[in-house]
Amino acid sequence: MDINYSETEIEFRDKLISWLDEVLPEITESPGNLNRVALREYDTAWQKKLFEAGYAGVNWPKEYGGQGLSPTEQLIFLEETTRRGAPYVGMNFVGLLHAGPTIIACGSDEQKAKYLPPILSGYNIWCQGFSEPNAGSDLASLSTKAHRDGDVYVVNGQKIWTSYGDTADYCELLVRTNPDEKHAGISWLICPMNLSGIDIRPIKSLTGSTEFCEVFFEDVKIPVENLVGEENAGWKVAMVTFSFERGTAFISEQIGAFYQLEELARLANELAAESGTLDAGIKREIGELRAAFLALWALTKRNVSQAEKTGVPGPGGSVFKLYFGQVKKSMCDLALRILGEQALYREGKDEATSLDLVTQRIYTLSLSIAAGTSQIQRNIIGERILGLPK
Amino acid sequence: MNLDPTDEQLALVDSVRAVCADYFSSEKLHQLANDFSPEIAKEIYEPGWNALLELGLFSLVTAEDKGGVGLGFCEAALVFEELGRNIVPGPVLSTFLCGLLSKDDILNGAIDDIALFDDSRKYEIVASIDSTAISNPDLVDAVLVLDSPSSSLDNASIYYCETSGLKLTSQLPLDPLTPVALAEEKINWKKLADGEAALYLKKVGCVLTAAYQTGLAEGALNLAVDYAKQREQFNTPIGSFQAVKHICADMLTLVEVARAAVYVSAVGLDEECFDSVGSEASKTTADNKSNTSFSAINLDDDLSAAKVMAGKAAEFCGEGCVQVHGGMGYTWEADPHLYLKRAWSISHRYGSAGYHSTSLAETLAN
Ligand SMILES: Cc1cc2nc3c(=O)[nH]c(=O)nc-3n(C[C@H](O)[C@H](O)[C@H](O)COP(=O)(O)OP(=O)(O)OC[C@H]3O[C@@H](n4cnc5c(N)ncnc54)[C@H](O)[C@@H]3O)c2cc1C
Repeated sequence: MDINYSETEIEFRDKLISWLDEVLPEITESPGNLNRVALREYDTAWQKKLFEAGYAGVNWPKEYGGQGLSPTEQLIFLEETTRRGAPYVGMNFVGLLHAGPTIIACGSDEQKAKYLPPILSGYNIWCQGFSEPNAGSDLASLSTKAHRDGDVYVVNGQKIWTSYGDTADYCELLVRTNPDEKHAGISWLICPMNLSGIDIRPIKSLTGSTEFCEVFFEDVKIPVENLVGEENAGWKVAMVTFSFERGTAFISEQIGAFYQLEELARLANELAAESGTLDAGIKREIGELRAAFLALWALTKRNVSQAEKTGVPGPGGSVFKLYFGQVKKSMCDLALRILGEQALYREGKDEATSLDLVTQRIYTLSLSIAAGTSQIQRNIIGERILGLPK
Repeated sequence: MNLDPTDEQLALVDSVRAVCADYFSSEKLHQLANDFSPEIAKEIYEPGWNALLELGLFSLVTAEDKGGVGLGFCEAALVFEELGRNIVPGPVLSTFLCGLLSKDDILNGAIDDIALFDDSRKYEIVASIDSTAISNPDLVDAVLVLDSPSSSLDNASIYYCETSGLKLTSQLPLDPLTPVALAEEKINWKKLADGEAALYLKKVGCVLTAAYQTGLAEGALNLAVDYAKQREQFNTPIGSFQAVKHICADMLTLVEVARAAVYVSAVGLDEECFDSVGSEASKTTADNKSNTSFSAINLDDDLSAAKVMAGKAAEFCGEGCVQVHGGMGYTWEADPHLYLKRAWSISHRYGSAGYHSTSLAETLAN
């Protein structure tokens, strides 16, 4: 065990910092979540900048446009970009954080060559078509059908809660290729979102923005070469997707939470200056949150070290996701209490321009639902890590 | 002792429920949540308000010989619990309290300017004279403060300001059913009264907010339980999973605990306010009571307990309701977020949980 950074890692950090100091002053503010076209433009422009400067896909293979560096350097990248308030991955989320990594782990050479570079260069946006109206927690009961017809799969059915469905170019799509099997009848397809027969309807979320969609498929023809992994072995591929989605995808949000806690402490101090004292109870709560975030950061480093061995994060991702969600909620709860009457309103006009702690409290409701609910994470921990009977 | 509502009281609750069903249905609430502009408010909100007015809500505890309904705070608590169950928005409680100022026997003579108050107007009460965030700005005619500068409940004053004179900018609200505006300049308050009246209104506000919170909690619980019975995953209703069942059971537990505390403090209000009208002697007994730990009623402690527990129940149940609904709970069109956001938006009213917990600790320590 060693928590010190190597010479090359330190050098990487220094170079990154000076690059960020140079480019960040020119970056404008995000146009906000309601203007989807402008937001896509904004999010991908930043990705393009990273790509051109040699900072896209820090730990992705060089031959597909990545930097070929270690997960530790990727962690340093996330730490410094978040600390300095660089734009968030935003619409690049699925491509960069779980679809791309899944293709690296399970895709063919042709698929890697075709799909990975445009993710890194900010050219393509991805979405995730896993959940269905009747297959959420019980994802493996999904019923969107695909039958093979010559060199295409013909897809019929419906997905729901598809984040970025309205702006994505590609979808990581789970379909049923064998109706007689449950887990063993699922395939993982790459679905271009511009195919005919796809109908996308945005859903308004409780934050007030339209961040996810219903997606309907009617006789959509997807080329057979878009199958990732074997036919009917898509559940295994989906497990790989989940390990990235639950394990590493939240790292930059986790780092962001550190700074939100700092902001909260500042706010508490300001209010205390007005009233004369900083309530001891509040002080202690802030300290406890800090303890939890520091420990979670340690856990992330540990998970990253373990993943470095296998290339894929382990079920420890469920542990991280479960606890991080709880702690972030507690932090935002405390924020509402500290703000008092000022918590009655949100800054900005919509969710994306509104990054204040009040909006964050609303948003945190997703942390115990999206990417598998907290109840399901506990089942996974109980059954897969602890080996308790089903 | 009897903490169970009577048949008459339950009939009153039924009549409130009927008004809510007609005027504050989920569909109407969503119309308001999407657009709480003055025009929509006039079309959707006003008819419901008028129905509540006709029901006598704003003179529920006013004596019959003064044109009121002549009931007590127990009835008021049951009514506000029902309003919470239906997420009825707007300045209902504030306006109810202002009704007490102008009509109530107990507060008789507390303020000179009772002409400022009548049933055709609506009022909002904010936390302090330094408050700048004003809820329901387009609905209300005036804003008031029940202020206690020393942050003790003694030595309180009532301040008043007409909204027409305020420069207000509307904000993106936390709760779509509670529009909020910020006053751009320091509000020019007019002092209406000193002392007891403000203290009295604060206590009533505290108990009835707790009643409303309990109702919110139960409304969210009912919605969650209905969903848990009906939604299936893994070929079985999700309510059959212990993880879901236990969330619902924890919700019910908090609802029952909160409700009991609310009823006790409502009885306490009735005793303190009606049984001691004009009587210095009984007031002294009331003061003595708070020093005896085994007396049946210690209103200050009881109302603090009610506010702390009901606030907890409302937030826990709102959040639990979202969670039980899964992805559906994260949508705007579903109801769960309306319960939770409403719970958040009233949590600080008439003393936050932090304030009341602290005062409970202090009375014990002293
Ligand atoms: C903001 C957000 C973004 C999302 N983005 C995407 C996306 O891009 N792509 C995508 O495919 N999906 C996405 N989802 C969907 C998400 O993965 C599902 O909502 C989630 O898996 C839950 O499924 P469900 O909504 O059907 O809820 P349900 O499965 O119906 O669950 C309802 C409740 O029952 C509980 N429950 C269900 N089964 C069990 C069990 N066996 N044991 C104990 N409790 C149980 C759940 O924990 C929950 O509390 C998103 C969701 C959100 C909120």
